[in-house]
Amino acid sequence: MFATLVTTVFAAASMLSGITGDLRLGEKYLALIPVQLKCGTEVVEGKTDAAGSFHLTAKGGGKCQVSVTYEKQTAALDVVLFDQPARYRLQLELKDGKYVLKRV
Amino acid sequence: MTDRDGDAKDFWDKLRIILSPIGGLLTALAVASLGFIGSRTVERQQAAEAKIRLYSELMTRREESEATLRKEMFQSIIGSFFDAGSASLETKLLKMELLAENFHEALNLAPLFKSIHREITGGSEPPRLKQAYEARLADLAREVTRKQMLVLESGGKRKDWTVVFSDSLAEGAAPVQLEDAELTLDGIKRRFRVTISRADTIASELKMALEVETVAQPGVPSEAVGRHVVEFDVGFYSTPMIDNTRLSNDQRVAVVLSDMNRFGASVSLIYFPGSRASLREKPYYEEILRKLADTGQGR
Repeated sequence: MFATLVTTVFAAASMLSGITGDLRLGEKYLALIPVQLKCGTEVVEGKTDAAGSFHLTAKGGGKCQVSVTYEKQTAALDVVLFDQPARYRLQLELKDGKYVLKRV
Repeated sequence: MTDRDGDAKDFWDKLRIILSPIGGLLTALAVASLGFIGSRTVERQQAAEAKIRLYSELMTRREESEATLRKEMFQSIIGSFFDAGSASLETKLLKMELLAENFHEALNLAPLFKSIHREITGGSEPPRLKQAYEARLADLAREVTRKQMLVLESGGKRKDWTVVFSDSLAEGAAPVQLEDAELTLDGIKRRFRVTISRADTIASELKMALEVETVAQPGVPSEAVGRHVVEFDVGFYSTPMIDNTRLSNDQRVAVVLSDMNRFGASVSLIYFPGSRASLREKPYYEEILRKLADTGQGR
């Protein structure tokens, strides 16, 4: 019984995965910007901290989408979630008046 | 007339009489000062040189003792891998961890990683234990790569990509071209283009081509200008310090598989100076030179 419980807890914990990283506009790190991670139906909301870093954890995995809302515009990028948190250095670029989110 | 002329001393004669001993004194003082300053300068130079000698002596001794220790450790670990009727997988994994943690900058560990991986998959252990061993081996390889990337990144430039797999990429039918990376290192600008032609999710390997374009620019030899393409496979066991492509101007480029599952992969490119590649006993040569230069400035 105890072994089953431990296995279940570990299995659940191991299924948690996510992304960590930072967000920039040019050379400037963006603080307190809403960041969203969408994996299927699961949506995880977060914000960059004062240093422009973020960490989002999702229960699911696989193909997901990370999006950033900046100056009333939302830019998104396809990401993949692995067993271990992946580091994403994200950069917003202004192209033809629209912000584009890129991994650098 | 002659006597009177001889007795009469004008202003200049008097000045000459007064100044001649002072002149001698000043000359003596100047010579003494020169000698003093000269000896002080020589003394300072000698002291600085003695410091540099001591520093390099200490470094040499440290490196010698480290090299001896590492040599003995290496011989002991690597020897045990080839012993007949060798140890269990658990012991081999532990030895692999020791080897990888201590010699990853000097040795291409990919053949050993692959050998142990083959032993795990072909072994008679229960499936759960096999999975645990495989995960442990993959974690070790990724940890080695992560450590090397940290070192290389501190002296180079990095670009990361996320590759979302499609069925056609897994079959090798439709290659995926990643966004070009334009990176500048030590004033040399190059464009890198990575094209993934196949994703093997079972073996966790990507087959790819790397195109490097170097345009004509100051400091780059004319024969290095142009586009060059290399094709290779990248897996978790490919480490950037060892598995890299040599570029002109003593520079290197490596592509690393940071993570991979059946949905996609995380791929990184690192463009770094050749001084950081392969076996470079710490501290690096440029670090020693910088320290020597700092000692010189501190005189």
